This record gives sequence, structure tokens and C-alpha cells, in this order.
Amino acid sequence: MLGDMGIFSLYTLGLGRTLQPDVLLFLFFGTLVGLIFGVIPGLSATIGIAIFTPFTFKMSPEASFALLLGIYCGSTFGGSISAILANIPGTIAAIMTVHDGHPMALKGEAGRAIGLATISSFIGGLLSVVALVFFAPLIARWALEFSAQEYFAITLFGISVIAYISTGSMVKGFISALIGLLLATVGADPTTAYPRFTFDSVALLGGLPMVPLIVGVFGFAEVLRMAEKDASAYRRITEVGKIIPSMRELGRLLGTMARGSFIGVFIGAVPAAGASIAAIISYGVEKRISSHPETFGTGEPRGIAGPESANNATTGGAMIPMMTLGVPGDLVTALLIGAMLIHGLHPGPLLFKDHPQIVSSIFISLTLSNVIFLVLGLCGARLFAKLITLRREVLVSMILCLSIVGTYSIENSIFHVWVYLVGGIAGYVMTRVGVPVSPLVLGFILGPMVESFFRQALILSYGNPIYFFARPIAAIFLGLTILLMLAPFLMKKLFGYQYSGG
Amino acid sequence: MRDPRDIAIGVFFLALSGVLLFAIQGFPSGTLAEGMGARLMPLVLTLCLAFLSLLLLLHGFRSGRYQPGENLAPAGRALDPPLLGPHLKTPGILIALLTAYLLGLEYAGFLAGNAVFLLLATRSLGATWKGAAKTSLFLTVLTYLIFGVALDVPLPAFSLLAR
Repeated sequence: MLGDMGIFSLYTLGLGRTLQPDVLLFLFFGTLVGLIFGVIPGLSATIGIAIFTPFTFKMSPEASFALLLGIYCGSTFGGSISAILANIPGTIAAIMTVHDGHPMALKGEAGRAIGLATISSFIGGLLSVVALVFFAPLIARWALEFSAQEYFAITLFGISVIAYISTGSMVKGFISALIGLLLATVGADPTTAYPRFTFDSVALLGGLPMVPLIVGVFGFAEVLRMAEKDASAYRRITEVGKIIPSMRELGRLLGTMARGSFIGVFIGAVPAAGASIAAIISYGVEKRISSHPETFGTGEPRGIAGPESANNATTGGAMIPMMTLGVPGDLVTALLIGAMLIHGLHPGPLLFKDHPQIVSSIFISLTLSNVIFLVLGLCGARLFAKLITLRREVLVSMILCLSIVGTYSIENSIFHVWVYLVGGIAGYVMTRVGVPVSPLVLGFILGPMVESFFRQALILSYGNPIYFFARPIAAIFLGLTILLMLAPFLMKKLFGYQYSGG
Repeated sequence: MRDPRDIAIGVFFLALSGVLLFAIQGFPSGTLAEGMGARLMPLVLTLCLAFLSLLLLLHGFRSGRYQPGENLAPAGRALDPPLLGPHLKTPGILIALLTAYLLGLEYAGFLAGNAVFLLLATRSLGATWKGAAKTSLFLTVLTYLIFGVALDVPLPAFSLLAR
């Protein structure tokens, strides 16, 4: 079906199923929830999607992805509001917005800063959807030629990149990824049905439940981290003022937004390079090409427009490798892969061939979500600003309650909540001792795929792993993975650069 | 400076690798050409884990001698909070409360169990009893309406008397 379908036809194929009242309602709700999660410091798209994935079990795939993609887009933008008003990025994606957003707010131009952030985010998000719609089918068509060797190499590369760029030591990142891959082997062996690490428990025969573990590792662990801290008082601006910027100002910033969007799409499509990196690069580029770089950091509109268009442009960019190859562009897309698997959908080129309506629905949901946050951001900024003052105990209790009952509701099983509890404690302890949790989650989600591709590839290679290198694309990705692992040693040898943590 | 955290993590994961190697001994190995048995994947992963744990352990020792009170954080980064201390009190209480909640959920049912759990959890986070009661009541009713009524999830009912 992929071969004989144009890009426009693919985009419009799912219009009928997506423009249903229930799907639109979930899309609106998801974007609103995402905005709220983005605005509140400490919460993020990852936590939002982890908490709300259990809600999607009884929903149609279209409604599920509308909800989750709404959260993704909404929270990526929402972080800018607290960055501007409270000098704290609500999400890591808004890390650069604080530099010029908050100084503008201190000058009494908080509304103008929020307006610029909203419109820049909208343009970045929309252009990233355009890139996704154009490039994803092309890559998917190309990826149809891939065999298990290529998929194994690409999946392994994705996990390695996440482990490499995780906070702290690279060795700890790889250890975390290995733990995730090992956790994925729990349960009956997919080929021989031999029970592995089940300890005679029937509940574990089907493997560790994915969603409770992820919600625990992110949701409950975050609750425990928030419970550690005292309620902090920080300087918040409550006067928002005029929000919609003038057409003249927007015209002046169009080039900045276009550059930011291009950077965001490109960075987003690189596995594991996320929204914060795109925002940092965009800010750096704008400052470098500016004739007045000294204005950056004092309330320069380009310091908001560039990073905000870049970080939102990573949403569509990160979806490209996720949808076409099954390799997540960032942690949120790794969770989206988990949500797809729950609905029996396998991301990769066959998704375009077997479920083009779902692909189309994802494209449309992403487009509409950008429109919804534009409207919500411009009209409701004053309301969202009040969320920053939400009391910690109310916030923590709300997350606890929703995540516990949400986890239980997946299979009406208390065992799932125990997994949530243990996963949360493990996630909390890991972050306390400096072991990143993102590689663990990615390894756990991609583990079954890695094992399956590895086994198929071995059969195709007559049991000889050397044949993996006989296929050019597999060889390139395996070579890159090995380079990544050796990077600290090579850097030390070649440039005398010392990598922390070995 | 020697990094005691890296040493502790290295020892822990090395020990875990040993336990895993012991556990997978009984798994059928199969042959490569048959697409491997149940054993190969966990075996490869465990061996990699053991190797990396050893690397971390060596790194921990080779970093030099740790002086008590020395800042272990890399340059430009804030020192991590100590592993143990009073800041762990509230997280510990929350873990204990959730454990008790799960053990009692089948008997107390969702409405009573959740309300009591949230009341104590919110209070432990610093709310007043009145504030905690309001939050607990509001959230319990809200989640009951979302999950129990709208999504038709069969939440555990009060069954203490029946038992």
C-alpha cells in the first residue's frame, strides 16, 4: 500500500477516523494535560505520558495517540511558561528560554515573551510535522529493504546513544541499558517458551508488565524525589500583560524561527539527541550570527524564538526514526513505542504498509495538537501561570493517586501496582547513586526487539555473527555503536580528553 | 580521589552478575544456527554487565584516594546530596504507606484505603490535617469518578466484614 500512495493521500487517509468527537476531545485533553505538566517544574512529557499510558488501554489507537501526542506537544511547549515567569524551565526542553524569557518578564513584558514562545513553538512544531509527513514515508519505503541484521544494528545503536549521552558516567549508562535488556528477558522465552527468571510465578510468565514498570521508574521515583525537597520559594511573576506580539515583530523573527525549526527537526531525528540539545544549539547559532550578541541574556526576543521553535521542532523530528525504523529519537518516543506495542502496532516500515490509517492519524493529531496549544497558550497563559504556585503536597498526592489507580486499571491487578512500587524504588535509588534510568527504560522497551532481531539475524547468518558486517547498513551502525563505546578511550588518546566515569 | 559510590555500584552489579550467571546455568542453550536457546541472550548480557561492573569498580579505585569531606562532584556541578540522611524520611514514609496500602487494599477496598493512604501521604508531605483531609477526599472521589464510573474499572470494594 505504501508504494502506490502519495504523501498527501497518506496524510488525509485517517481524517475521517481522527476528526471524530472522542478523538478530538482526547487530543484537546492531552494537550491541556501536557501544558499543565510542562508548566509545573519537575513534571515533564515523559512523566505525563508514563502516567497517562494506562488510560489508553481501553481506547482506540487513534484516541490513544491523540491523547499521548497531545501531552508530548503540550508539555514541550509548556515548559517555557515557567521558564519565563519563574526563571525555572518547566521541562528540560525550555532550558535556554530562561535566559531571555525571564529578563523580559522582569521588564514587565511577560505576556510578550509568552506570546513569542507560543508562536515560535507552534511554527517549530508545525514545520516538524511537515518534515515528518514528507520524510517518514520515504525512509519507511527504503527501510522495507532492511533485514534482521540492519534492525538489530540500528536498535543497538539507539540504545547505545542513549547510554552514551545520559547524565553522568557512560559506563553507568551502559550498565543501566543492560539491566533494562535483562529485565526484558524475564518471562517465557519467545521461541521455546522456557521460563526465564520467573521464580515459578505465573504472573511473571508473560514478562514484567511494561507500563507499571515505566510509570514506577518515572512517576513514583519522581514523587519520591519531590518528597525529599522542601517546598522552595522562587521569584515568580504573576502579571502577564499583553500576550499577542505584533505582526511586525513576528516578521522580524521569521528567519530565527525557520532556523530553529530546521535545527530542531534535524536534532530530533538523531536518535537520543533531544529537545534541550536542539534549544542549546539554536540559541548558540542565533547569538553567533547576531550583530548584537551582547543583547542575549537581557531579554532578546530571538533568544526565545530560536530555542522555542527548535525544541518543539524535535517532536516531529523524533517521530521520524521512531515510526520508520522503530528506533526512538528520545525517551518520549521510546514510551510511545511502548504504547504502540500495547495496541498491537509495531513501529517500523511495516506500520506504513499495514496501518496507514494509524500513521495518518498520528500526522493529523500532531498537526492539530500544535494548533490547540497555540490557542491555549495565547488565550490561557494567565491561568497556566497560576499553576506554578500549586502546593507541593497537592501535586505529589495527585500524581500518586493517578499513577497508582492508573497502573491498577490496566489489568485490574494489584501485582501491577507492586511492580510500580518496586520500579519506583529502583528508579529512585538509581538516580540517587548516579545511575541514569533512561537507558534502563529504553533497554526494557527495546529488549524483546533486540533479542528477536538478534536471533533472526543469527539464523540468516548461519549462526556466524561476522555476517552482520557483510551488510553495509548493519556494518555502519554496528561500527558506530563500537565507536561510541570506545569514544572515551579514543578521545583520551587523540585529544587528551578525560571522560568522567571511564 | 577514590569514588566510594562507583566502588559500591561496581560491587553491587558484579555480585548481581554472579547471581544471574548462577541462575541461567539451567537454561537450555540451543545452537546458534537454530536461533539460540533461552540461555544465550541473558548470558551475553550478564557477561557484558560483569565486564562493565569491573570497569566501574576499577575506575572507582583508580580515581585516587578519597578524603573525607572532599567534593566528589565534577567541576562546575553541585555536589550530590548524601546517600543517607534526614532528607530520606518523607520518601521512606511514602514507601511504607504505599506498601501498607497495597497489603490492605483487598480488605479495606478502594474508597476507604485510598482515602486513608492519601490523607497520611499528604500529611507526611507537610500539609495540615484539614488540608490533607480535603485533598484526600477530593482526589479519592475524582479518581473513583474517572476510573470506577467513567472507565468502568472494577476497583476493589470494602470486604473486611465479609472476611
